[in-house]
Amino acid sequence: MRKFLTLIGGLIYRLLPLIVFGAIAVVFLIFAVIRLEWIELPSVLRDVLAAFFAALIGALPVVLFSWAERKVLGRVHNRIGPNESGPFGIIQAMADGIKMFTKEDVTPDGADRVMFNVAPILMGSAAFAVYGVLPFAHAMIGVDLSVALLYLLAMGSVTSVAVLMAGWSSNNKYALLGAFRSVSQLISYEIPLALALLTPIMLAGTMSTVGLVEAQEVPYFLPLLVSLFLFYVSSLAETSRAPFDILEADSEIVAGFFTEYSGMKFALFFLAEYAHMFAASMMTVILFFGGYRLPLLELIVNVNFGETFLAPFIIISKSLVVVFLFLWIRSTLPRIRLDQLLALNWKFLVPLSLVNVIVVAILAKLLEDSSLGLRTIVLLAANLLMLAGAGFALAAAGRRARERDEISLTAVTDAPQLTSIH
Amino acid sequence: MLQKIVFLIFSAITLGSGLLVVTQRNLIRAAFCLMAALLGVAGLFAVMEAGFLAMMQVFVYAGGIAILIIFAVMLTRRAMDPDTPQMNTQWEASVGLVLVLFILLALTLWSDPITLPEINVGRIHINEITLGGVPWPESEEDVGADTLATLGEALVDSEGYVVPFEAASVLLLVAMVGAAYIAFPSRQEPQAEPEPVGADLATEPGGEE
Repeated sequence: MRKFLTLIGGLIYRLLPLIVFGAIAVVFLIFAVIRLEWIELPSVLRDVLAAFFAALIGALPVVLFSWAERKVLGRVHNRIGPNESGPFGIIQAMADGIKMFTKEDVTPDGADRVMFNVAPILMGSAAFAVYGVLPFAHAMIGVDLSVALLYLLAMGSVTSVAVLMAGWSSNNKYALLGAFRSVSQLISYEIPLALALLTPIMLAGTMSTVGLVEAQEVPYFLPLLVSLFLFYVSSLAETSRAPFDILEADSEIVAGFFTEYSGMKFALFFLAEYAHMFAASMMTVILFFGGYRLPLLELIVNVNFGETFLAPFIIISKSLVVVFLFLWIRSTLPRIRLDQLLALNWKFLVPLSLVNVIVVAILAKLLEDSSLGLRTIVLLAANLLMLAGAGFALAAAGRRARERDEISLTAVTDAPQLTSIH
Repeated sequence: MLQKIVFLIFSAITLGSGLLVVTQRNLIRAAFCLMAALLGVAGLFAVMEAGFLAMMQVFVYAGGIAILIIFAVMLTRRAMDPDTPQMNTQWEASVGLVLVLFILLALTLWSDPITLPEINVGRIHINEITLGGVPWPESEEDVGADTLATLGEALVDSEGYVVPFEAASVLLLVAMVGAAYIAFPSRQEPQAEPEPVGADLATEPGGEE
């Protein structure tokens, strides 16, 4: 009997990755079935179920990314990541999940119980709600809002409120301070995010995600290089990923606004962060890299990839490349301090995004009637000019900062009296 | 039918949260209930097929103004003082005023015109008054299509609302410049002695049951 159970246990252990990925595939398949109308459903039920399963897809990346992050970071740091649990350590994410599930659920003394419990739920909801408007193919979308990009921004704002709720209700000064700092970062970086989102809307003429993908004859990273840069950097800050993760860094403020959370609530914050990261990378792909289509290939071959079976694979593989870029940046760059972070936003990103919007608006209007190639090349040239200008401005600012440091150093050594230290 | 159910749900959320805002003793919870009420209003906009307004409501109100209010409330000293009286001492007068306002609004916005008859009492003569009669759109077909484009064009049309739009932008700019000027530390003042850590922390975080 014991040998039989051991055999079963071993079999489950070996097949666990398959089971997990099978579950992901099943959810996806159900989503496809509902949306592509392979079975008949009344339209209201179909819409509600499609939105539900689309949001459920948002819960799945965590399984993959929790493991992928450790592996990628490990390899970049010249070590092997987790390889103990399961082949290649694939079950590591599930092991993490089980660990968090079984941890004691602590509510700190004096904490506001209702808000303490609602905060992770609100944050998770905001992160999963974005998946309702992300298309996996031309018809495979939770709901095709005509204001989908505004919806994305709105969900980011709800995240900020959830952070405040979490920080305040923890009855912990450090959590409160971490929450204030986190909210200041989140609301500051919403501005270049929104301004960078204006430019693809101007070129495509619609705010709907499906509309944006369909309007990309040429993928928008060519005419809108600066917007891509702005959107990506702002997404890094909005999801609190390195190098903007001053708030979650263990060495800085323990865990920022979610210091007092343990167990399943912490797991929900964790889930929300990875879901937000995957949603941000999918948005980058949809806005700038052609989404579920292959625009450059489609110029040659006259096939709309969005309506074939390849579409979900196309968009997911492109998003995974962008996620790898998120992880790569995390493992390579040191984190920047909060005041440097805010200075970067207000003194560099916001002016650059304003200039970007003005330049793209003027050029897009002037070249409205000319050919696609001419528009792309002129906008690309303008973007390169803006990047060069931004580079020169940064170099000048760096030189001035160095000169100021040198002046203050010489002043301290020359003058006998004390000068104020800044 | 589904529209009615969704409308009832969102109205319940809005009105319930509004009631909680004014009856909660804990000021922080009241501020978060205000955010819930604003989200309920966004839901009502969505039910009325005004998607842009719903998203703007969430983005601006729930994500901007509510955060400001929550910050302001968190930094006040008396957020959780249990000794202050719950109601204003003049609450009877305010209830009376609110009732009058409600009746006025209801009469003005009623769809069927209400005709108040002539009154001829002695030397007092009041003419016939017609209230209400607002032509609300009854179904989806009455609403113009593509309202977002119409809104956008009206905001920049020289015969539209471009002057109020630009005036509002200048007002916001003046407010921002004024705030920056007030908050800017003046360079002539000598460095103030740093206060002991925590002296400025106005209130203890956390809630009381």
